[in-house]
Amino acid sequence: MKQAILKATVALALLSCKRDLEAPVPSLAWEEFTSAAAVRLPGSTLQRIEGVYTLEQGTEDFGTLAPAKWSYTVNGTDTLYQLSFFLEKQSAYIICEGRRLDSSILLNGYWRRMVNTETGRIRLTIAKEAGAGSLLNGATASTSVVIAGVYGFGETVPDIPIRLRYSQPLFNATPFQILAHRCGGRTADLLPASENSVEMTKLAARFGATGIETDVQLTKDGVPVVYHDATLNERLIQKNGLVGPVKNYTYAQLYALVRLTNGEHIPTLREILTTVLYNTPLQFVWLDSKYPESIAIERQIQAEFMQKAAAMGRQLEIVIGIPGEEVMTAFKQLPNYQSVPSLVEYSPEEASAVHARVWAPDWTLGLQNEAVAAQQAQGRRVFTWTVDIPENVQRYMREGRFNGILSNFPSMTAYYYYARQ
Amino acid sequence: MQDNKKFFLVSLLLLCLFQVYGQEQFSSQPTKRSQYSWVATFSGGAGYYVSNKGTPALLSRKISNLSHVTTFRLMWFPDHLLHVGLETGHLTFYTYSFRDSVNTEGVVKLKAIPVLIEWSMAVTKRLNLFAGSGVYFLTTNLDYRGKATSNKLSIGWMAAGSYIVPLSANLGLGTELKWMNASEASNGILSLQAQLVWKFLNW
Amino acid sequence: MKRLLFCLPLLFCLHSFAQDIPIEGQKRIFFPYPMEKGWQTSVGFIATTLPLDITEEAHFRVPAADIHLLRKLAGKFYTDIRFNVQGVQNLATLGPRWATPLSKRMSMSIGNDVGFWFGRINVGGIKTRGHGFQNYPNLSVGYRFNKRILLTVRGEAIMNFGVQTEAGSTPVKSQYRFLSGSAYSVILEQPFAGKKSMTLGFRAMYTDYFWQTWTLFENYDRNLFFPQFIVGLIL
Repeated sequence: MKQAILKATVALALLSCKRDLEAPVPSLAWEEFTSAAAVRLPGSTLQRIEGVYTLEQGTEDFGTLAPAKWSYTVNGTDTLYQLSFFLEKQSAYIICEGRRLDSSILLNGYWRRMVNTETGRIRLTIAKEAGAGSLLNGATASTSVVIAGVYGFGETVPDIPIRLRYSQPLFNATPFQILAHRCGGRTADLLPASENSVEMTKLAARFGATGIETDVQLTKDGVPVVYHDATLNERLIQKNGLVGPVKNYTYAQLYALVRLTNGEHIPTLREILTTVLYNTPLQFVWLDSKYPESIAIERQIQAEFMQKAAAMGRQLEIVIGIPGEEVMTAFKQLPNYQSVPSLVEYSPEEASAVHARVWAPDWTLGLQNEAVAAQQAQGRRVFTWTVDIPENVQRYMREGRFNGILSNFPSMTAYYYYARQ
Repeated sequence: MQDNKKFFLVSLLLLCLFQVYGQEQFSSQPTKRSQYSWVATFSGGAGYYVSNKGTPALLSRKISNLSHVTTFRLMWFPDHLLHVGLETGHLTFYTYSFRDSVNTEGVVKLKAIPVLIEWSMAVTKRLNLFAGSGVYFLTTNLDYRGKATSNKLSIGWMAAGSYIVPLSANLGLGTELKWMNASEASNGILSLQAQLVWKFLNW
Repeated sequence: MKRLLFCLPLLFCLHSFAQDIPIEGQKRIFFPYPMEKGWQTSVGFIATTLPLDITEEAHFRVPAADIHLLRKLAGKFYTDIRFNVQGVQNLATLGPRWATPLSKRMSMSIGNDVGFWFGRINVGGIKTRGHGFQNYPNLSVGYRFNKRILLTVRGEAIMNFGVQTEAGSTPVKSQYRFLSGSAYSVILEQPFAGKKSMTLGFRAMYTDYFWQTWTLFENYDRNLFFPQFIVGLIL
């Protein structure tokens, strides 16, 4: 009996451990898709496939509606186009690449539920007679377009049927910013990249984001880097013996010794904005300024990149985020601060005083419809942050007057926005 | 008569042994009810950081896992087997040197001052088991393209076992095997310490 | 005969180092055994290490005052009453226990605790309020060592329901599963000082919703690990 108790205690001790979770992107091997006969689809074709699809099969895992939106990522001279489906159940998404095989369209990718770690492979086909023929000939999607295929769980070969039928165009009657937190998502959400990294920035549009929020602070030698926490810690970096505030280290020291959880470097602000401008279709960047000392150099870099975007004919808005009084004081030291694009989080009066482009209150303060309307009457947009629970996103979209939502789950925000009637 | 003599001699020997045994010697267990004391323990020894985790594998690094561990513990011994107290001290988790891709050298040292609340149980008069939790004040000393010193407070815990040989009623010499782990330090340090245990207050 | 009488005290001295002490009269709060007297009280704290997934940079142990009472009912039944107090948010649980010895040293209990938590926190000038209900069916097995050392191993299921939270007058939704998770504890109880005993325990909780983090409105649908240290002085 004593032995049994001891064994139970040891078992309990073993069980009482933190379990490391992961959600790796499954293998995307599909022979048909990678055959020589399958030709990569241009972005224009994927754009014509965009729309809200109704699930006729697969509803038990993904729900009834699936808005589909295309995006791209530029890597050097190569541009990769993706089609993302946003799903209601458990904030799931599907990300596919497209190829043309004869007169049919193949979509190969994976799905993931954001709230947990479930993921799996998916293989979809639009047959010639199911609308691929007209799509390839330049027509936009109509109710004759049917996407059929199979999906699976984990690494298992997909074999569960799924079928989607086009039902309506994506909602875009009122402009709305779908903002992704920390360049695309949090490290804790087990995405394929670490938060606030160049790699995550490249993924944000696939998750449905039209813009990103990112956190800026300075190193010891004044280099603006993108990193959320004040200190190097086990949450964000691979342990390396370096502890304490980021600002105690120079950029060279951080570059040599620090790797984020998924192995990336801590990026500079320039690297993030370069990625946004040249590698993604993102249109909005919110620079969350953690400390007042970074404001001056943020302003320089903001101006530089907005000029570059204008020269390219590219729509890109970069705002300096002001979370509180201390940063506001530093912001007001900037020459002509009222013409500097900014976003004020805390006070609508201060947002008016600095002619901010955006007022962004915390979502837990409620809908605040009157205050929001007053700001909009001054020509200001209003975003709210950081909304992650689906019922709250729905409610804030349906009953609120916000112009954008910042979320850790931009695919969920994208679902509720694009699927609107 | 001879048998009786033998019997008395053996009994006398046993009684002497009990007398020696019964003479007050340092003991982790209370020898009588309502006996309270304060005990200070001064320990010093060597620690071994049990893995290479926490040192970037991407650099050609040389790790020094062996380091000093010096601690001071103050415990309250009430009149039962369970004791409570505080431990602090100084230790180095690990040191590593490295070269980057252009052959520039660097050194990283991770040191700590623990402040831990501990409970111990006197399993026998000489054998004690410890477990505790608290914080470690971590310090990084970095020498690479300039020097950097940086501090952080980390939660952590410890577990240990010690064996104390009495020198007198209030003094003992002991040895302790101790595991110390700070959450931010990637892994823990296993140390072996010699210690002087002093029961400085009794009532 | 004289030798025997002479030896008896010696034998007694030797035997006294391995004396078994009966359970009756030993103070306990977690150890599963029928109560002898009306009330048993313990005061202490329970410190929870919140997971980094939720607290991010602020990795610390959050203490709550822990007031634990047992009230004998009839026979092998007693009531377990507990308060975890942090001021801005608090939890009260109440539930029956049925305990029985299994052998000379082993015993067990089964029970079910119902809990109610509530919190009031000012967020940026807006009064954020929340409350919810919990249910913890539980099973404990105990082993009594010599020298009054009591070891308890306990398993619980964690259920959350009826969570309502609001910011000002705006209701805000919290995400959680009804069957939120489970918890496993190892607890030692033994005499400490004078007539008081001490509880030292470790509880490993795996849950997708922990009442103390209600203000964070997290959306995780996975069981996060919350280690807890339990310290109590049984009065």
